[in-house]
Amino acid sequence: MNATGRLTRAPIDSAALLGEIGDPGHGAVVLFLGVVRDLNDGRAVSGIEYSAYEAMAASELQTIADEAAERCPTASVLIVHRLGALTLQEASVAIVVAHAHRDEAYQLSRWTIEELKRRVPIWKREHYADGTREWVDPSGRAREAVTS
Amino acid sequence: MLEPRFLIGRGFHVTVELSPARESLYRERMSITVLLFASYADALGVPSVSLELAAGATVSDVLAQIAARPGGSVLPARPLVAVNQRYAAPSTPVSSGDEVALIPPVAGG
Repeated sequence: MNATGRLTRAPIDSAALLGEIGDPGHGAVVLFLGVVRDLNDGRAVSGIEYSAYEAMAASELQTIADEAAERCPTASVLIVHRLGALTLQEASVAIVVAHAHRDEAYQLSRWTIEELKRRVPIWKREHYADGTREWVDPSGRAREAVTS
Repeated sequence: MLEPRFLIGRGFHVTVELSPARESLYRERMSITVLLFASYADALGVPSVSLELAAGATVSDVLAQIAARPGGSVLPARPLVAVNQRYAAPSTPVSSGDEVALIPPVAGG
């Protein structure tokens, strides 16, 4: 089936992605969107800036899509991660998993986002309503504040 | 008969005896470019660093040199490193022309 992972700087068009993966054999299509929200760790967020080690991130996204397809050869998987400056409610990542049945589609969608968060070299710097910004460290190490 | 200093300029070799320590210092040096990103690039003030390393150097040697630079204290004891766009262990050897990247904690999604 289809397995694709890629980066984009353009806004994510989820309807176009659903069209890209469409197949008459699919009875279930799971769309996951990661979206910029207005609050993190109690701080008001105004936007997020995404950057990447682009060559490696693109190849890791494709590798994760390929590995997902290996785990479930009858599924189709499409992963798109956005880079650049995003405002609230914009999608930073889209994962579309399509399968004949919902159980496989839900499971593979969850596996795919967790792998992406674990290993793709992408970074985000949150911009806060108070004018400061910080690199986000999900591993919990001390953060370094930068005044913009 | 030409003066010796003139001859040196026309292809004569000068051999200097080096102590073993000195000799290893000059033997087979290689140049490696290390890519820095996000918080690491901010802390060191540059997006990449060129290093001179001895042949046989590993990822650990690269890390030690980066950590010793101004701002290098931002690195954790064992940061993620990629060699030629694949995650690599501290013991991984590096060669001239390899693309070495220090990967801050990833935050995709």
